[in-house]
Amino acid sequence: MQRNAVDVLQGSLDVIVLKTLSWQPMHGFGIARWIQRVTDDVLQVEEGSLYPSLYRMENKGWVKAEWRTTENNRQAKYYRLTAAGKRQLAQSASTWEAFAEAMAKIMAAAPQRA
Amino acid sequence: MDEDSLPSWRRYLRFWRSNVGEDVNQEIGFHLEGLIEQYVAAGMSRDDARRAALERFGDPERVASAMRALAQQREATMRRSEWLHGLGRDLRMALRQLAKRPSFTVVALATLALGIGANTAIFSAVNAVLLRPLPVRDLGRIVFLYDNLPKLNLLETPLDPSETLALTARSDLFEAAGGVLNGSSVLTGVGEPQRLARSRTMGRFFDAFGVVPQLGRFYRPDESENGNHLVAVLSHDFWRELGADRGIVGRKLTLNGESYEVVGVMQPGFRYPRGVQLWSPYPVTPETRENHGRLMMNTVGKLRPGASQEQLQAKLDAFMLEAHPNATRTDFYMSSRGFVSAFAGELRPTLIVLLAAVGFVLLIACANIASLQLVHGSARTREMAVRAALGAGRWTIVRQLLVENLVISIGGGLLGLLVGLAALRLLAVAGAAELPALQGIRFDNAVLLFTALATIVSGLVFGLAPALRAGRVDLQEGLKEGTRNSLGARKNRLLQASVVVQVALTLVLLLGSTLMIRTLRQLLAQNPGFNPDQVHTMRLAVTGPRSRSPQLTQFYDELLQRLRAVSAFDQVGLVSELPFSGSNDSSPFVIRGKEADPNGPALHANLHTIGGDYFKAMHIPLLRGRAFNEADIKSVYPWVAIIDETLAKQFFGDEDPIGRKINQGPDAVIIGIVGTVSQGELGEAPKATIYYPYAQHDWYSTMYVTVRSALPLATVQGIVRSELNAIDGNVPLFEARMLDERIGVSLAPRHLTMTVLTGLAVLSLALAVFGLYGVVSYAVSQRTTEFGIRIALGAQSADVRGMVLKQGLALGLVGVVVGLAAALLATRALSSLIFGISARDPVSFVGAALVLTVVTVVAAYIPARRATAVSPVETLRLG
Repeated sequence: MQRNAVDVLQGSLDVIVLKTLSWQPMHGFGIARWIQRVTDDVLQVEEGSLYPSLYRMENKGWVKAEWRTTENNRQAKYYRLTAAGKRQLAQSASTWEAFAEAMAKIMAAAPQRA
Repeated sequence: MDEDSLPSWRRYLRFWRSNVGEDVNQEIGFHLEGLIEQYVAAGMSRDDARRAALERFGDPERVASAMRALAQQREATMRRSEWLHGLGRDLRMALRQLAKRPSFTVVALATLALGIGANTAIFSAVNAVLLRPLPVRDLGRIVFLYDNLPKLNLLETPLDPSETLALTARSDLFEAAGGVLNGSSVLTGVGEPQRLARSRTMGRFFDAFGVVPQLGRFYRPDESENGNHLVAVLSHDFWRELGADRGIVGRKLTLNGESYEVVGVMQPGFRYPRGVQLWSPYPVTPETRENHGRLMMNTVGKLRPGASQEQLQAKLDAFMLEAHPNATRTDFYMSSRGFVSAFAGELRPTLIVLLAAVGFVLLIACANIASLQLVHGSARTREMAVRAALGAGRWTIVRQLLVENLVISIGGGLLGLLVGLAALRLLAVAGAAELPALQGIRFDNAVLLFTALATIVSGLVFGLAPALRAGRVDLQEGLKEGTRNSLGARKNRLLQASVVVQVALTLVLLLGSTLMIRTLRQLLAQNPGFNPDQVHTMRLAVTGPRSRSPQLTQFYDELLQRLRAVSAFDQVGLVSELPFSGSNDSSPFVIRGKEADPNGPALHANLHTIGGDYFKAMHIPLLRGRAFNEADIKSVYPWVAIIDETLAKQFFGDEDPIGRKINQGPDAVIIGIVGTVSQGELGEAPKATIYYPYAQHDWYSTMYVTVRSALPLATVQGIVRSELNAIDGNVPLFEARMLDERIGVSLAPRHLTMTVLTGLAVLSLALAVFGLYGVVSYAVSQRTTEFGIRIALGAQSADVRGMVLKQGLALGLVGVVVGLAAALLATRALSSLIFGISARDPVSFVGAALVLTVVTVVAAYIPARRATAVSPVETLRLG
């Protein structure tokens, strides 16, 4: 395990999953692997928590699930982004960018004297 | 987990319905296996890999339960939306189907709208008059109290004030009790002099109703004594008329020349007595307690919780025995009646009858729509069969038809609400002036609830049988091209039953209407004892110093002198209690030389003071002796009296009353006998009456002016007004009406019953005719082939026609017989409204039965003719 691993907050998990699904439909295991690979295992997701997140987003109509056969000839549930999910992702992305920018400015700020 | 051990074929269930538990386990299993393989590939042992996978995944059981909960949520939402979607589909389908049959749809909607509208209107009246006439809690515990003197035909009269006072003190009888005396006073100082409906109350009148003041306070019982009675409570309506000023409490109003302080305003909606504008205390003096006098105080009491009217009766009997130890029940007793039923009074039987009648109309309407559907249903048998063949389940078809019926019933209900509103406005316009009880009618939640209920129930009544029948469609029969006989005996029985119901109920309504028409005719043929034609009546009220004698007598003298000088007036009279005016004054009397037992109850007679040519103006015949003359008025002693025929017969028998002395105050010498007059109702039991000149019982400051003249009422009123102004401009003149109009008012409840019943009977008759016509036409269309064969084989058209006619008539006659039987029971409800005929009046029964039979023949004849109109060749080819 990485020493400087970061726990992922519930709210950001949804965004991460949406982003993951924006390229192609994927099953939960695939999503976990993708996050691991892209973040170099920095973001420590308790992988089980992906599923309630997926189910919740399915209830909201952001993702749609269907059972498919994998390359290894096994049954797996694939999730894909719906139009509503894409809209949600775009909205979350801009929120995150603004937040990250603000955060970066705060961390870079020098102490000021009044 | 249990799901793990489920066989894999369970997966296929997902085709119909997802299996939540199975899906979740499979998904988690897939993930864990993937992780384990990854760790094994990285070189871990299988056990280490399993542990590492579990650590990376988290607790699978916790994750699984979260997933299951979310999945179940989704399924519930989906089921709901599927159901709504299905309903939407059914609705669209129903609208399409109904649009395809516009004539059926329009007829069904109109029929239902009329039926539900009539019910809504009548129920509104029932609600406002019978169910909740006053916005007061525990209305069911409030009773009216009455005196009854059976020998004098005085039943359920108000009490005398001393009795009311004694009762209000009896906390063992009531939680609270009080009396109220309707009257009027003249308000001056606020614009034109105005006559106000003022009620004087006694005891704990407000407490008995449990009302609360909107503003200020109510007066206390002790404010009725020692001259403290100059306080008033305004009705909410009157307060708003005065401008709804919240600062009104403490202000003074001048009533009859005396200054009253407004201490409070009543809560809104409390209108008892009807039309009251303000309440003030009835002044109680020591004499009030001792003198037994006039029966005028309407007395109400609120029973203690749990106390029954039977218990009250026993206590009232004991109470009366204390007061009159020697009286028996045949002389005198006190009784009670529930406030709600007494308050509704004369309208109660009318409304109950009308509610039943509109119920019948709705039933007829439902039977009518059901039969229409059954007839039209045959045209749809193929459609249903095709749908069933394509796999539609029985329930699907039944549901489709139920939704169609729901659309019709809801549409009919909404239209019915509009019809009801219109009918109510009509009722209010036509009846409210004559029937003040109808003024409080409103569309409230109870009415809306009732209409909704009527809508749903009628939808089920006319919709269920046809829908269930359609669900039982026989595929084989239904799909055969041109099949005409696919209906079966069950459907025919349903159709026949619906016709019988329609005819039978129509007969009951027709009979009710006939009985009421005959009753009114009987009543109008009754001689009231006077001739109301061209008699103008109006009321005046004198106040201030002029309202006390001798000024009052002088005022009447002068007024009469002036009015008699008007050449266009044939005769002019004055009377304190005009027949059919709703007012009456019954007071005890004694015949000298025939004094009754002093411990027994007093004899009572109506006391009227008159002036001018009252008897001549009214055409009341003088049977013996003479009328009052100028000398009687000028010389106050000895008092003189004229008695009516009823009193003469009841109390003098064969003796000559002329010259005898009678006492209703001071002794008065009987100088004449006049004919008996109906006081409040045509055909009522006669009551003894004594007339005096106004100069004798000289405290009547309100009088009715009676003028016999050919002029229009407004002109007469104008002349009287201007003569009145020449004496005193502050005397209001009001209630101007022709005398026959007053008689009309007394007939209003029966008139209303008759009018509405007749309207409903005509409506039902039309529905029943259409129903019968439709069913016979349908039967004919089913048998065209058979008729063709018969005619081809030599039957005469007349024979075929006769056959159809006979069947229609048979159906109608069964309806008539059933209707007659039902009417024998139903017309009993009319018995209190019927006059001069029996509730089983043979003329009405035979007449109504005949009308329906004739109508049946006509309704069956038209399709019967059509049965023979087609040529046999064509018919056979069609078959």
